[in-house]
Amino acid sequence: MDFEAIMMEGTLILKMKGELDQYNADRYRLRFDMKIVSPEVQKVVIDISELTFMDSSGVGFLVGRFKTARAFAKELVLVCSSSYINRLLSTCGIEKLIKKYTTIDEALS
Amino acid sequence: MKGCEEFTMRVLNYMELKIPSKSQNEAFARVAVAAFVAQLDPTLDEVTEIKTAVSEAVTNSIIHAYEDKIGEIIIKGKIYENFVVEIEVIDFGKGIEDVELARQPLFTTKPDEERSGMGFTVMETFMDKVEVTSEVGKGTCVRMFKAIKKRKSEGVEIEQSFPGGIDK
Repeated sequence: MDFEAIMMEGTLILKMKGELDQYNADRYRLRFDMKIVSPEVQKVVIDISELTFMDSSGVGFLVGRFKTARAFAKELVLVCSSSYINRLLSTCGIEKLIKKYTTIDEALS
Repeated sequence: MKGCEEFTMRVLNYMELKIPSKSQNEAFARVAVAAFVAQLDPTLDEVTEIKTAVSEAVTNSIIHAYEDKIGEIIIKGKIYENFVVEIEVIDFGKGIEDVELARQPLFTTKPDEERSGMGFTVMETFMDKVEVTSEVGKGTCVRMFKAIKKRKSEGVEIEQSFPGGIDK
């Protein structure tokens, strides 16, 4: 797994690529949290459209980052256009907790 | 923990893998199973569903069965007649006290470690059938089935290449 971090007017965009499973969740948890808690960040957008694989450990990872953001009173939303990952997210009921958009533009507006 | 009970359908092909419970092996396990299933020419969705289910079962063995230790995980794959795929994930770890409870959505014994508690629910959603046998102190066997839709291509050849099935 790999990710790209883009800062845009107080919004941190984290674009994830590759496979998000338990192994990668453990490797990236702290790195993501360090970026999320940074004082110049007001809002976080995690784009998971380019993940090629994700399982329920990945769902746990996203919920964990949402909780980090919430603890620092920051908004965190998801962007996902992959039908397979959307199905996994709805199986796990994540939409009740985290707002989800299909494109980055929608998430930013 | 020995595997689950034998099944009476004709076996056309099989494989077996043994890996230590290191989380780096999660990706290897699901890709190996996907490669085994590929001979049935499944759709991308079917492959992804099987990979996800395997990943959930193997992660459970690594995180819950063996916790901080490294133990062995055995992954068995079988292809039965009518394109039914069976995957077993077997460990010799601590076992599950209450299987019914463990299978409930959101149930987790490790809420503070970002466990979603959705592993079994995902397996059940993506596979046709999931059986769990477990004995405390002995281990757990997760056995999953999925019927692959027959498509006109080399997938059909597998049935012809093992006309009598194989003894296993």
